[in-house]
Order: sequence, then C-alpha cells, then structure tokens
Amino acid sequence: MTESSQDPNITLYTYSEVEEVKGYVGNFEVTIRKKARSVDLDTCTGCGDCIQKCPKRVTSEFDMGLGRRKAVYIPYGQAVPNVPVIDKDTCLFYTKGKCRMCEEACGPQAIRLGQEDELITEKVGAIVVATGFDQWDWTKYGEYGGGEIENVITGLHMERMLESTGPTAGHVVRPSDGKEAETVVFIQCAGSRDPERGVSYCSRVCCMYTAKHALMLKEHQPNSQAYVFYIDVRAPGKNYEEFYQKAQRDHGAIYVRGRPSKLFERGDKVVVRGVDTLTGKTLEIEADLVVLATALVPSKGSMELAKKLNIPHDEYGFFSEVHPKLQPVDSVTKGIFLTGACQFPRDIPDTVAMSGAAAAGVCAVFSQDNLTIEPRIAEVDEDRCSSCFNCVDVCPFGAIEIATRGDRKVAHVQKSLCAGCGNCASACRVRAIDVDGFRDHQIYAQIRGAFEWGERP
Amino acid sequence: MEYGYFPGCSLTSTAKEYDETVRAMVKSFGVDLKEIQDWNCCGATPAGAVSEEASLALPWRNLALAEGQELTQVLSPCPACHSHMCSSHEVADDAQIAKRMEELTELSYSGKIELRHLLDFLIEEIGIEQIKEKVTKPLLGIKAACYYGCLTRLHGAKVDDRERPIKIQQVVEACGGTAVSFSHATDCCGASLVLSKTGTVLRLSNEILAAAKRAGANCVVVVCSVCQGNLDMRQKAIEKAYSVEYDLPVIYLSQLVLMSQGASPKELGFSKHFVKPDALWEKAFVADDTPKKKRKKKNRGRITH
Amino acid sequence: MSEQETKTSHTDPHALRKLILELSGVDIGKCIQCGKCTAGCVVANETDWTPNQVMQLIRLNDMETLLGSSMFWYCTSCQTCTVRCPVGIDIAKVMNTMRLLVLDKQVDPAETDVATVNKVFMRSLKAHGRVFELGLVMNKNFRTGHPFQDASMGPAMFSKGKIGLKPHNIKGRQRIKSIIRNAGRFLKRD
Repeated sequence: MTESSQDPNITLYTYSEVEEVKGYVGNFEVTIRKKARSVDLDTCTGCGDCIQKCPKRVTSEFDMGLGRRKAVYIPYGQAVPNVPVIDKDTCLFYTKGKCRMCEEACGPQAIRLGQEDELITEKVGAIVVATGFDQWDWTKYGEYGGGEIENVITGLHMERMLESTGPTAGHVVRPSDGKEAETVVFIQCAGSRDPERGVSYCSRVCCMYTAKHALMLKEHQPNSQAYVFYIDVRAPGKNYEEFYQKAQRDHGAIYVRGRPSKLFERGDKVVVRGVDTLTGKTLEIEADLVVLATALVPSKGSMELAKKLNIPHDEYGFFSEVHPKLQPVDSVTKGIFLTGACQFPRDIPDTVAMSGAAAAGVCAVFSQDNLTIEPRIAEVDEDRCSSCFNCVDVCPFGAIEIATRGDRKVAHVQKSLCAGCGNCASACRVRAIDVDGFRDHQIYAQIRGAFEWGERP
Repeated sequence: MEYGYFPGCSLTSTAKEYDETVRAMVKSFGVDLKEIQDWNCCGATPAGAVSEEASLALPWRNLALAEGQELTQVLSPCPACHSHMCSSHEVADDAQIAKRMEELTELSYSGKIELRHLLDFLIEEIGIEQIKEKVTKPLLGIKAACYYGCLTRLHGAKVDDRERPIKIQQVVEACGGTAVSFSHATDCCGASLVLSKTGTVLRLSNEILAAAKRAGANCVVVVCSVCQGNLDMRQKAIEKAYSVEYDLPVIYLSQLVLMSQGASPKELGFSKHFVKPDALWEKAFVADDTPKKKRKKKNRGRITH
Repeated sequence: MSEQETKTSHTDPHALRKLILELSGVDIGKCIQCGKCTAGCVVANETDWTPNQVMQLIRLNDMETLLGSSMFWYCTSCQTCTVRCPVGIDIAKVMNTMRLLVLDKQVDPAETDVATVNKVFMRSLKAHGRVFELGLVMNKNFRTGHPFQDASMGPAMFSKGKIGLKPHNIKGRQRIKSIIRNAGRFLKRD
C-alpha cells in the first residue's frame, strides 16, 4: 500500500465510494464520493497529537470490539495514508457541538471540523473490482448462543488477539474476564455448508487459518490446548496439507471430526457438545474460548456497486465472471475486471494471482490502439426503428443509447458495450434489431441444415 | 368467547393440576372452554412407532368430532397432543390421505379448525397486555427457568425461535417475574423413554435441572405435562442418583399466571406436586433484595460480531 | 415387503435409500455427514449406531445391520437432529420409519423394552380409547420383567390423585379399536 501511495502514476482515493459509473471500456467516467474525514490530507503530518488529546473513547471496529479507539483515529497501524479520520457518529463536536480539542492540539492546523463530502469525477480506461468479503452473521445460530455467550468469538477476533501489536498484545484471552484461555475449541463451517440457515458453499479459507490459529496459539501459550471440530479438512494448496499436519503433529491440536450441536455456559466455561464421528462417541468439552470459523459472504454494499457497474451476481451476491475457467477475472462488461473475494471466498495466494491476471487484463486493453471485440453484437436497422426504446430498458449492459437522426430519435448500439445477448432483438416489436451472426434467416438456415443432414450423401 | 378444548390423557391423570389451572386461567380471561365430547387419545409417540396411519387417524377423529360439535378453534395444553393434531390437520389438504382417514374413522374433517397450543394461545389470543392487566400480585420473587421442552419447536406450537424462544419469558415477565438466562430451554427431558429407559430420563432431566440451578432459578416453568412429570416426579430419584440437591419446584405456566392473579396454593393444585412449591410461595411475591453478582470485567468494549 | 423388493435390495445399490424415500418422503441423499445430528442426540452414546451412521448405513444399503440397530428404539423423537440438520433432512422421521420397518419385516427389535411399551400402550388405547396409566404401567412392568419398577411412586401418585384405579372408557372405543386394527403400517404416498 505504501509503495502504491508513492507511485506518481497511482492516485489513491481512500475513505471514498464510487457514486456513479458512465461510459464504456477505455472511456469510463467515474464519480467518486470522497467522504469528509474532517482532517486535511495534505496538511496533516500524521503526528497523532489529535488522537492523544481526543477525550472520546469508543470500541474499535478493526479490533472487533476487543480494543478501544478514539473518536479521531487511524483505523490500524499500517493504514495508508497515515492520516486520522474523525468518526462523526461519536465525536463530541459532531454529536454535541462542543470540544474541538483536536483542533487545539493540531500543530499544522489540519483539522477541518464541518468539512463536507466532495464529489470527484475521474476518466479511466478500465476498472478492477476488489470489494472483498464480510463475515456471515453467525448470531443466527441460536444453538451456539446467538451472540450472547461472551467467550464465543470468530476467527477474526482470534486474528486480532494473536497479533502482537493487537488489543491483547498477542495473548489469547477470554473476553468475559481477560484471563488467558487454556482450552480453546475451534469450530469449522459456522454457516458454511449449511443450506438451511447459512450458505451452501465451502468458505475455502477457514481450514487453513484455523490450522494457523491452532499452531500460533500453542506457540504463544504453551499451556493451551486446541481442539478443532471439522467436517472435512480442505487443504489443497502448496504446502497446505503439510501445514495442517504440522498443527496436529507438532503443535498438539486435536482434530475431532463432527459439527458440534450446541454451546452453553457452565460456570465460567463454555461447554461444547459435539461428536467424534470417527468413533461415534459424543463428547462435551469445557472450553475457555470457542472460535467459530464463520462463513464468508460478499461485503456489505456490494449489491449497490453491482448495480452501478452492471455486474451480474449469484444468489449470494458474489460477482459473476464471464467464464469460471477460461475467463476467471473478466466481468461481462468489457474493461471491468474482478479479483479477490468479491467473486468467491479466496485466500491470499489466489487473490494475489488473480489480481495479477486482472492487472494484465487492463494492460492488454491499454496496449492496443484498436479494441478487438467479439463479432456477435447487436445492430439496429435505423430505418425500421419505431423509437419505442423497449430495447434500452431490456439491455443489461446499458449498451443502447438514443441517437438523433434528423428529426427522429433512434436506438443506437454502443458496440464496445454490447455482449450480444440478444435481449434487445427479442424485445424489438418491429424487428429492427438483430444480432450479427444470429439473424433470423441465419438461424432458420441452421435449423434447415440440421434437418437435412440425414439426407446428405 | 368460546374455545374448543382438547386436554389429552395425561391432563386427566398425572397432570390434573395442569388441566384445572388451564381451565381456571382461560376463564379468568373471559374465554369459555368447551371440551371435545368423547375425545380419544392422540396416539402419542407409540402410535407413530407402530402405525403411521393410526398416528394420523387417531387425532383425525378428535378433529372431526370437534368440527361436528361446531368448534372452530381448539386449544391443547400438551405440546405432544397439539403437534400430533397439527400433523393430522395438515393431511386434510391431501385428498388421497384424507379419503383414507375418512375410511378409517368414518368421520370427515374439512381442515378448517384453528389449532393452538397453550403458549401460542396466551400470546396470540389473550395477548401480553391482558395478562399484565389481570395481575394483582406481581411475582416479584420468581426467578424462572423457562423450559420449553423439545416438542414446542415443532410446527404446531409456533415458538418464535426454535433455538432461543422467548414466549414463556414474555408471559413470566408480564406476571412480574424474572426469567433467568437458561441454556437448556429446548433440550429433551427423555420424554416417552420414561417407561422403558428410566436411567436415560434421569440423566437428561438431571442436566436440565442442573442448568436451571446454575442459572440461579428458583423454579422451572413448563408447558408440557411430560416435562413436568420427568422434572418434578423424578426429581427425588435424580437427586439420589447423582448425589445432588435441587429442590426446584416445576410449575406449569398456567399455575404461574393464576398465581399472579392471586390464586391460593389450593386452587393451584400445589399439593399434587412432588417437589413442594411451599418455599417458593413464600418468596414468590417479594422482590429479591440481594444484590446481583456482577461479573468482573476489564475495561474492554463489548466484542462485536 | 414383497419378495421382489428384497431381491432388488441386493441388486440395486440405492434400494434402501429409495425405500426410505418412498416410505417417509425423506431423501437422505443430501446428507453431508457433518455429524451435527449425533452431536445433539441425547441418546447417541447409549446406542450401537449413531444418527449419522444410520444415514450412512442407508447409503451403504445395509438393511440387515440397520434393522438390528438399537438407535431408533432409543430415539425420543425430540427432533433436535431435524431442527439442526444443515441440509434439512428430517432425521427423526427416518428414525421412526426404521421403527416401522422393523415391525413390518417382523425382525426382533434390538430394544424390546421400548417396543413392548409401545405395544402395551396401543393395547390400552384399543381397550379404553384413552390411556389408562395404572393398567399400562402394570402391564408393561409384567411384560418387561421389572414387576416393581416405579412401584415406590405408586402410593404418592394415588394420594395426589395423579393416577386413577379405574380406566375411563370413551363411548367410541370400538371405533378406536377398529382404527388401530385396520390402520396400515405406512401411509401411502404419491
């Protein structure tokens, strides 16, 4: 991140959202909402004086509520740019109209209380979408306490705790009392592989990060004991299987095959009622901490973005690529590429590889003077067009625009956007649109050919 | 308002106090119960384990009788009976099965009766507001472990959530009592195994009572006669088998509601209980002044999910 | 079951799964063997096979092992397995179908006590139209060979009026008798 922030050819818009996307490959016009951070990006030196002086403490989202932050804060240590933001929902100035302590503390006078969002328009040639994932709301699982048992956490909480600069300085503790956890139970597939109440797919990354957590837990706290409840361990990557074996063999993680049915509190312990299906024995483990490997789902807001970019998505909201095997990073709209977990849960090596592919896709577009497109696109017979513009409404790619021909208005296909789906051709009442190569007479010829085939010599 | 009533076998014998208090409680809300004339046993679990057709035909007869007696709604306090009636009620839509049921019972049923379990009845028909209005002696000292049992999770009883239901809590709180956070609210007590695998029932009921005790409850509130039987009648045996002491009265929700309306222990049928609710009665209406144990918490935010 | 079906169970590797589907309307083919049914099963530690193993035995077409299992006799029909099954298999219903299948095939139940209670219960229904607890308990104790089981609770039960000495006979008990006598083991499904 730091490297890209210093590259003269890269402009970073952090704390910003895409408002609107117009145009087509090579000619996108993107409206960006640069949200007011209430701190001036250019003047701020990142000294942190404002943070120190800020009297308002709230729970930190980045630390999953395990730690605290101020109302003016930098989300995490390596955040780029190293400039704080003021949280309008909790800042005393924004909520009660008084305080201004950060303003007083700031030497270079970079605080801009009352700053407003800014709309910026950029012309770009291609777009890469990498909106990532969120965790499935596991509190729907009433049998796992529905979020009421304090010592039931998720893998992301664990990740924060294992971080030596994190909220617990690398100690794995029970949120209820801050004591170091000794028996830690990991539960895989919390929401994944559960078509009834969660998602039906495998979230793909949990097996490996759980093995990592179990391994690191032992390294951080040698007195601890990890139990991992799994259904199947999926470790199909380079050195993955070996890593999982290492967690079992060298770090003593005990793997139990079976999905637990219930979690409940007994004293200060969480009882895990599970089964080892390999022996057929049901068992109860009294744990200090239970870590759920929650399912990964598309990030919040990705649906709105899909609409703005015309990207189709699956039933879960993951963005669809043109072809899962042959064009895995291309979206159906030319010039828009997909990478990472916005398509499906992916781990780091896969995401890096696919991002490389997406970047190469962008370079391929930019390196040509002319754009080669598929010949299968729609064409309007302008003389026939009755100007009803049904086609405009049905086009999923926004490829049909209204053009003026003298005193008439007619439909016009923007060739670089058209994907040749044929929706417009079916919707056109006067048969003014046809898809090249799939004109009626061509299809009839094919049908005739198919029936005549048997009679050929 | 008039409401059909299906007590079921256990309410005429082992759970008489449930029957009596349900009738009295429903009356206090101005609803008249009309018992289905000449009703038969719903078949319980054994019928289902012996013949699928019989398990549907037995409740079918009751539904048909109710319809013949011009009842449009039927209340049943037993979740098992209720659930069996619901299964039978559902097949009325299937012409083929309905025809077979008519053959067996020689009675027809149109599938139009509205079935309600006691819990559903209290919340949906009576409503929390009316329960609150009738309270004359708030149950300030009641700390109830609300035990739903396993069968209230099924289609019929319409609990709000199959894992963490809150309907009994709502009633307990409307009566001025407190519901403790109870981990075993929907766990199975062993139910019908009581006659054949008593040891299993003792083990399971012990877990439930232990969870209630841990949660700081001074009574267990139930809506099922089998649950009550296993937790109350067998409590002595459980205490002996596991060398523990619970002394937890197991009272029906209807008893609890009547208690808050000023009914006497005699009217509540407390003499029929094996674990005497006498001590509970003494503290039921007095707020507990002992300060709550507070968990020591480090100055850390509540974790977010 | 007819002869033909027994024959196909040897030739068709999916015969048992199909049979369960036909008899109960439940397809166990969706099972992912996660074990959540067994983890939540209150009796799984007392039985020879566990619920998830029963699902697998159905897949393996092993009718013989399955019919001899004690699993479904211990099953309390508490439905926890069904409620929590992530792929929506009504496991409790499969258990009940297995109980019916054992009776239908006239195999000796692995747990006679439970089967006896069921039988005695139905007999009580046939005679009175409702359950007569005293008769039921005494009959059951006699048949299971534990004549004094729960006898210590008797006096208290009587004094509290919780158990009657005489059965309540309903008017329509003849009808109940004929319902039970004529009812088929399985419901015919389309």
